[in-house]
Amino acid sequence: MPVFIEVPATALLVERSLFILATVLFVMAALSYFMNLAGKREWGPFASLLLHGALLVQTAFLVTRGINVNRVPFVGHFEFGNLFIWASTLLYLWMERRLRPVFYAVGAFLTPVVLVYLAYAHSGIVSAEHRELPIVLRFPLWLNTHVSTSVFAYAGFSLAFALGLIWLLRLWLTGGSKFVPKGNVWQTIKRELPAGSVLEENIYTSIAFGFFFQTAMIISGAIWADIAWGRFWGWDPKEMWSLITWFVYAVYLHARLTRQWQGPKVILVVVIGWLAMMFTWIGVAWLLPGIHSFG
Amino acid sequence: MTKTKTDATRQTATPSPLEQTLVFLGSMRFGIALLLALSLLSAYATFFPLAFARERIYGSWWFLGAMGLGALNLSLCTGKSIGPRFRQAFRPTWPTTLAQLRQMPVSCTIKVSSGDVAAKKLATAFKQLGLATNRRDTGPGTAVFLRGERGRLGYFGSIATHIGILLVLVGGMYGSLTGFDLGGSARKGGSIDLPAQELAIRVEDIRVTYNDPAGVVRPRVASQLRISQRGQEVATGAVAINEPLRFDGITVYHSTFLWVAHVTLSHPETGAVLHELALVDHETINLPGMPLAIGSAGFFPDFTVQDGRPLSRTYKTNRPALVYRVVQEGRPLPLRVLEPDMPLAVTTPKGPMVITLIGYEKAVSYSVSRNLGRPYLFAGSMIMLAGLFLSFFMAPQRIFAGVEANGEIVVGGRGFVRHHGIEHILANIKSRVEGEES
Repeated sequence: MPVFIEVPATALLVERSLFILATVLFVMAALSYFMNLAGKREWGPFASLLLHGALLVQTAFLVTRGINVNRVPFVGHFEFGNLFIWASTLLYLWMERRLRPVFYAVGAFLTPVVLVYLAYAHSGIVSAEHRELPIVLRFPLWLNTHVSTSVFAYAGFSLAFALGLIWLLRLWLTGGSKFVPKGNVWQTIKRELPAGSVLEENIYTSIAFGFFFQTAMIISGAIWADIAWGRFWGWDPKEMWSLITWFVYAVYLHARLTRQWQGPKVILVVVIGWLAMMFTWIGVAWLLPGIHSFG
Repeated sequence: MTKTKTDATRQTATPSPLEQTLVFLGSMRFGIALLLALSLLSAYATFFPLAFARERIYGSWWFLGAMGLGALNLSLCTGKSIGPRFRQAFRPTWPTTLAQLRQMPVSCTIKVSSGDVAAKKLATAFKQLGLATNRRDTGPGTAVFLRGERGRLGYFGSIATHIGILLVLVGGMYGSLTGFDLGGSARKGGSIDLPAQELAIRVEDIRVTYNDPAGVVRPRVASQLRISQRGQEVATGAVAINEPLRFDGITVYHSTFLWVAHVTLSHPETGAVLHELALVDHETINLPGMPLAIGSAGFFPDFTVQDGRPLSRTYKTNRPALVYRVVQEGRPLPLRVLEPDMPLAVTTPKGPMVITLIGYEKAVSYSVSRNLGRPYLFAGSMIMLAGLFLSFFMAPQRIFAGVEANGEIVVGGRGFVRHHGIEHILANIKSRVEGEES
């Protein structure tokens, strides 16, 4: 039975205003990245500026939310979704800083993914109510470790997915297929997309980052489960889907190491990994309820 | 003669079926196929009820067999890679010509006025960039080679990761073979007997502490336990959610708390009690001597109905009610709500009866487990994480530079699993050497 927290009207207004402002900035950043991708390169730095602004406001929103719920905002799909958006943006901007201006094109693919997460978190399907922490989750050390590692794991996999989409588009545009559109815009987009080697390297970096945190998330969850529930592994759907996601990315890492898989095969694994991750986050909660149903 | 000798050599070189099998079982291709198979099987299993999946899928010989093959694959892969990794880390191949440096994944050429001091400048640049540096002179009048590297431990990342996973698997197996994971529920004064372990857990008391006056927040339910083994008391203590009791490698956890509703079935006219039942939440009790059962659909301390479903508004017993169902000859009848002092009529094969809720009390559901694999699981997890850290965040990078007497320097670099960042290092070396030159 969830217990709701009564938040003062002013605090609520600040929280909601920050959220709306962050959303507006995310949308504007996405549009600006698209302009950059369409050949208007002066929009690239502006898009990046907007995304930095969105990250800043999103940070303020999360801090406000934390103050309003009197804990780290880690519980439920709404709070986790917003953290996930924050971490994905942070990771992207860190990569962009090292690789701009070639990475501005990636922004045009990462921001729509972030907007999808935003749409879900604020769709009304998930509760945005301010809730007390369920008693079973009152283990600050393990809750904070488990959730923050999962947030960074998902951020890494999301960035890899966005890069995979670009690689897919690149393969399509350069593959000589008769279905490739011939318009100027497509030619410009083709020119703006990062080289295959850059994409490959950064997909690996993103997945390595995500995989490390996914492992840390599974391990911290197992230790926490041992403390709280008396067993490391309960074969719960959420646990299993986290492991499945881990398996899929392990396939990617090994396939890459042997250098046997290139191009579409690799992208397929990246996309399947992202779908497994999304199912772990959303699908399991709605379709396969278990002991992780806190959201 | 020559032909015969060649054939003989060829025959000797052909691996035996056992060797071929081991090579296949230790191959990465087989490992990838296993990972994919385990992913698909696990995904399939999650769509079944947990108890069924645990027993019929995760506990099946073929699932455990796939895990075992995975462990074998990991062991063989790891064993196979230890030698090469040591050689890569400690005995790297030095280039012997500048052409070999140019063929490296990333390379650049620097031209300085004299070759005499170039090696010294390069060594300084390598050191400034934090690269552990080695030098090899190929002899008078020929090139001088330098090797700079960082992240040597990264070569052992995957080995550590695999050893960690193997330890986790060993820990899991050892824990499940030597341990147990049992459960049971009891109310105050009751006990849980685990005959195989010769354990008896007696519930001395159950205390409820409300976190708010209204009782909306889930209260803290703590039970006082007295545990004995072979008749000897071995432990006493309180157990609550997130507060287990541990002794001799055994852990007693509070899984959840339940309600037990006490009901009577009596004769409608004489009032004589014919049956007295203690109905635990969601349990069904068969009545002796007739094809009739009474099942609890839950006890609700503060009963209400919302959207056609029974629920409790708070955890306090403001309006206690038992939602029950009669199962007659295997046929479940509609749910009914039974409140204290409001008896209901029940039709049974032995004639009409009256069902009355005469009381209720709390019970606690416990999980009792012993996992001797815990230290291995913990150590394996930590080694696995350390291995991944070495693999991903301490990726080895190796830079070679060759200096000719005429002042031409070729710098080439490579990474272990990726060449990310090598361009940056090479550009840095170039700017430092050229900067010093100007």
